Amino acid sequence: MSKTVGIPRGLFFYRFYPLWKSFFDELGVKTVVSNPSNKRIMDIGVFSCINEACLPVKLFHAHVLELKDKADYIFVPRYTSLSKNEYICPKFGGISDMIRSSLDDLPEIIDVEVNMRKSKKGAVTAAMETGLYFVNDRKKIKLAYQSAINSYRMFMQEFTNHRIPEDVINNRWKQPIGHDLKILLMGHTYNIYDSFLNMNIINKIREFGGDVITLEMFDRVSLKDSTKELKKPIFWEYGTHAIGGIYETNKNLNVDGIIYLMCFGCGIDSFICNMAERRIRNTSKIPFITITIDEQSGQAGMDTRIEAFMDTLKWRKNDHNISTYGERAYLH
Amino acid sequence: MIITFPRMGNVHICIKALLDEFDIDYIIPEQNSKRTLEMGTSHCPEGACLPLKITIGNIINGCKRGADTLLTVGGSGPCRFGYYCEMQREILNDIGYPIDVITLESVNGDFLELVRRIKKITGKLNPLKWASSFLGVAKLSEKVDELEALCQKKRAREVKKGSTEKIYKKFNKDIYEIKGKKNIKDFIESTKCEVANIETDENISPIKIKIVGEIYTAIDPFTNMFLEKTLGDMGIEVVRPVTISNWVIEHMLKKGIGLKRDLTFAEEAKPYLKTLIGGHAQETVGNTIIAAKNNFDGVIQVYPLGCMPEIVAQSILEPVSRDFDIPVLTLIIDEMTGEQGYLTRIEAFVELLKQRRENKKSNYGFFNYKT
Repeated sequence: MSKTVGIPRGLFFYRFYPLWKSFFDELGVKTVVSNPSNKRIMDIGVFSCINEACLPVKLFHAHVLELKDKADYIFVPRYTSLSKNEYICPKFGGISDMIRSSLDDLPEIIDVEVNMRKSKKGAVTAAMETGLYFVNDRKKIKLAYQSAINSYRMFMQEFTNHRIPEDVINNRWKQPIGHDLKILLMGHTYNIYDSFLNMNIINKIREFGGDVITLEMFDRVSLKDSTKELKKPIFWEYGTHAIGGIYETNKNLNVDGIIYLMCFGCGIDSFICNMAERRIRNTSKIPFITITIDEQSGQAGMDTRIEAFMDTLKWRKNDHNISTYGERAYLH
Repeated sequence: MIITFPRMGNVHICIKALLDEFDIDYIIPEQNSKRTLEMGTSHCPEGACLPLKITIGNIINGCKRGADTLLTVGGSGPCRFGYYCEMQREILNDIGYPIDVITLESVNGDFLELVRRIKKITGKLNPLKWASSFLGVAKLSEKVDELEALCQKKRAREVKKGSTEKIYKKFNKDIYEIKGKKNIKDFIESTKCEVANIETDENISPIKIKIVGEIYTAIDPFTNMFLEKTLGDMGIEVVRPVTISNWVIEHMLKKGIGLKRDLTFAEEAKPYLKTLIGGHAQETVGNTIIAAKNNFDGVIQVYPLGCMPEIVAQSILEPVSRDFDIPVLTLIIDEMTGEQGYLTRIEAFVELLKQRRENKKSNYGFFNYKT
């Protein structure tokens, strides 16, 4: 009987699931994914993880627990670094150790290290180590990895059509409805694409009449290029993308509003959000709102803020209907 | 050019000695206090970690007194500390202090840039003098740490309570007046003699606690609410493996030149935390295990709220504490931490350790803390 690998639906799931899914498919390994996050899963996560961790990490713990009896292995790679000279959050490097220490009686955890800080070969090494758990054929693993990369590229291609990973992975075809307001939604992939965690923010924005743009829809190379203005390069992959996105937005000015979604206690966001906001406020007049969520957030509070923000944007579009505060009141 | 720098425990003594070597004007920010913290908190993003808030407070204090250049060190991640220099620059420029930041680091191995920066401070290209001064200061930092360790030892055993603290306080006050590496060294030596002569009760064997955790909170007495002094006054011997000299020599000099570092803690931590994840996480885990092996009574982990590497470490300390049978208390500090609640927890922990020791002696096992 072939072995089953459990893939938890958390953290980088919405980024790398298509890659690993096709990799395991090619090797003939069955995969099982935990259910989408819900209230029950979140409660389990909050109880099984230490209090100080951030919500995505807590949720991830629960997703691993969900797979406990369903799989022979659980796939929790250590994402240390995904690009040259850049890191991910330290928690990603230690996530498998955290899980091992807080959860008991788990199946074997596959915790290969994905470290591309020095060279891109780190990914191949990680894939090879993973593959060797199941087949003893290096050539086959290499081929499987090749086709995995191809399907990953196709997955990335979908973003340029303004589709979001959640829809792509769940095979839902939800195109933007062509609204006139363009909203840049910033945040870590695991925050903005997990619709339970973020209380369905993307659909909410669409409901109130906005097209959602996320950082994944930008061209990665140009994002990185535009951060050359910085005095010191940011050593977090997400940070480079986010600040690059801000510079691009400032240049092109085709965005009506920016929503920054962050989780309480996120170390990287606390710095990057501050830098992003400063750059937006200093050089442009694009409205910027920060929304912080944790496991205690209420749906109503979130809805109110999004609605108010969207209303403000609509009023700004219509010159005669603007509050007496602010610069634009003096224009006529 | 008038230089200022962030404070951290007794680091200012070393930086002072270094800048004296090159005859550079500098301003030492006033001692960390509630005011420093408040000043920093009001200008920092709320989610930033406590050391950033305090250092921003320091630098504002330095700027107000006339400094125009910030001397600091950097890093290349993934801990947030590596980006402090840029955050400090941006925040200070934003609130109206156009400060110039000189960060001593080589970004992505750009060694020439580091040389250029050092030259900017010292004015002349003189690598021999640089090397000798840096080495001298590294040695000085060892001396400072020796003094601190001696004080911690004496505090637990002194006959007349408070005599160590009196000398140490006087040392902290007088050190500002002394100039030059050699004079500072002599002053430390003489203080050490004074401390060594304090009358102690050699018969008691005090409870031993190791302090581990994030470096800034562990080293800076104001930030950890005088943890070492509090414990010392309770008659407890404190040992702190994260020190200034360890940081300067192991993390900056040896890593910078590429020498072999002392990695015993990493070896110990391997079964629990496989890779280096930045910050002091591996040190925390490794030193806890070493403490258990060296028969310490307990371990206290301190870190500022939201510190990414230490959260991982805290999670791992749970099984470590179970497997090695060593009690661990985690203290998380931010600008809202109340002193009384903090003290109560420390006292309760100390009581528990005392009880454990009694139990071990008499083998009763009534109050066995393991359940």
